[in-house]
Amino acid sequence: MAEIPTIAEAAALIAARKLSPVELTRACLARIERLNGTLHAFIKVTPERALAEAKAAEAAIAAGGSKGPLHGIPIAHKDIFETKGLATTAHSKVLIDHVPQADAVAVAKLAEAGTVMLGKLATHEFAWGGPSFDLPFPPARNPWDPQRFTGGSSSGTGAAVAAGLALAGTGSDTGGSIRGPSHYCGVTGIKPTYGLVSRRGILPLAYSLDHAGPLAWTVEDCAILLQAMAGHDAQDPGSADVPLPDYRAALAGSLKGVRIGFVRQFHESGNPANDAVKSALEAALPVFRSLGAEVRDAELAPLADWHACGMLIMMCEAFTLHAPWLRTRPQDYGDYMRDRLRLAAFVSAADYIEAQRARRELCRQFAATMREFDLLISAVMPSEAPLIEEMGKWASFERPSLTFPYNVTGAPALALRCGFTAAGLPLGMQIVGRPFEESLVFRAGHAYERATSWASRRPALAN
Amino acid sequence: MPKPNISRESFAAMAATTGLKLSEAETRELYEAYGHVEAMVARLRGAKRPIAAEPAVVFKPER
Repeated sequence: MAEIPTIAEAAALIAARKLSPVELTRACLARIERLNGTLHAFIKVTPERALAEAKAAEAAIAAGGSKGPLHGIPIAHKDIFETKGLATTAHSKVLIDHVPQADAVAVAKLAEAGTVMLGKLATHEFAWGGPSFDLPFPPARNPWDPQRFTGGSSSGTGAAVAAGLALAGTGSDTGGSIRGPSHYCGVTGIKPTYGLVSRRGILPLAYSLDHAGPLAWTVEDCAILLQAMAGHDAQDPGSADVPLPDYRAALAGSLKGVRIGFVRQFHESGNPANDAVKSALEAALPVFRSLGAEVRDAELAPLADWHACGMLIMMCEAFTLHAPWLRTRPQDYGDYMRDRLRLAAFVSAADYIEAQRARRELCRQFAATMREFDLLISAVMPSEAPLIEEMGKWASFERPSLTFPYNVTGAPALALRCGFTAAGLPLGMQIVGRPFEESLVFRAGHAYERATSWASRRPALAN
Repeated sequence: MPKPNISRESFAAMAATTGLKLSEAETRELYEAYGHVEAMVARLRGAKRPIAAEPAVVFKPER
């Protein structure tokens, strides 16, 4: 097969018996074979298992036992998602021999929905340390230009989806790790509301900020995937016991009268974006207006406040869980992760609690803003993907993150394409909603995606 | 990178409490980066919250 279908397209073809899950899986495996040596998106490929699962899916569907739109769809998992009997290393020497006894809840739910697992995907070390060249596996490369950074930490997922090595993949997001790779790699990813997807079986980075979600080619695909991944888990203390709407059905609604706030201050003064990003964001606003939405500027607390709050919480929680290994096996970490964790040792307990007090205050302010607006549009990154060699150890400390605010609030944030640079590199935007209002976030993203043509472009090497 | 306000000697004393084994060169590099932490901490400490302002993560006995 020459074209890379979306999940929705593949599911329709499979249902109509015009596409075989085995054929689809073989096509992904062939692309992995051709491109992974350049992209390093996968750190472990499981072709025999994938083909066996695809054949089982094909037989079940032929016998009238379709499980729905994900049945027979090849995906892969970020290597911090535990997989039963298959090493889950966090891209680190520290866990190089870690073979879990059970699947992460999100992995199990996606398997129950009928997905085919192609293997495990590259990440920054323990979802924070990267891009690093001193780990057991090389860092993933951007399919739009392999000299460039994929973003992180769901780096392999962004690269794999963009190049069509998998139709989708899992990601985690503590400060922007789903949305950054979505922006730089030109794919779509959602960080859902905190607690909507169980974190059980996902190696933690920061307990109170960790979110899990999917990355895929389109908004509709993300809606399909989140439907399968979400749900209450009594064994995850942060899990939310809320009813789940039909996300895919909600895509069809109108944006008429939807109030959208544009968080201009973040990318104009908080972390100034380059002209390409600013132009792409500005150009998105009339599209939303043409779809019936009301768009005006929204004001949130200064970006540096959000960043300080999120970063100090993340540092302390990450140091706490890594301290035993850091004290006894420091040589088993890559240089970036080891030193970022070591710096975190210098944040006091009082400052951690101060950050958590600030968090409550910032969340209250955010809730007040969200009484005026139904959605926010916000920048993801201040530029297109930089060269991977330029990403220094302290880069994420030097400029405040544009994505951290929505980890601090726990609100749903979708990242999707909103343009390309003159050189053909993708650019993204965030659509942010109130907690547990993923349906509206998806509806706005889907309407925008259908009104524009950005999703028709793939990296040249994927063709 | 913002220059740290803390002295190198005070930073070395803090380092000794972390339980980490750090060489002189490693301590020096962390000291240089510590200005980032100081800047973030200063933003939060300067906010003057009411004494009763609770953290976002609170204890709930039923969970």
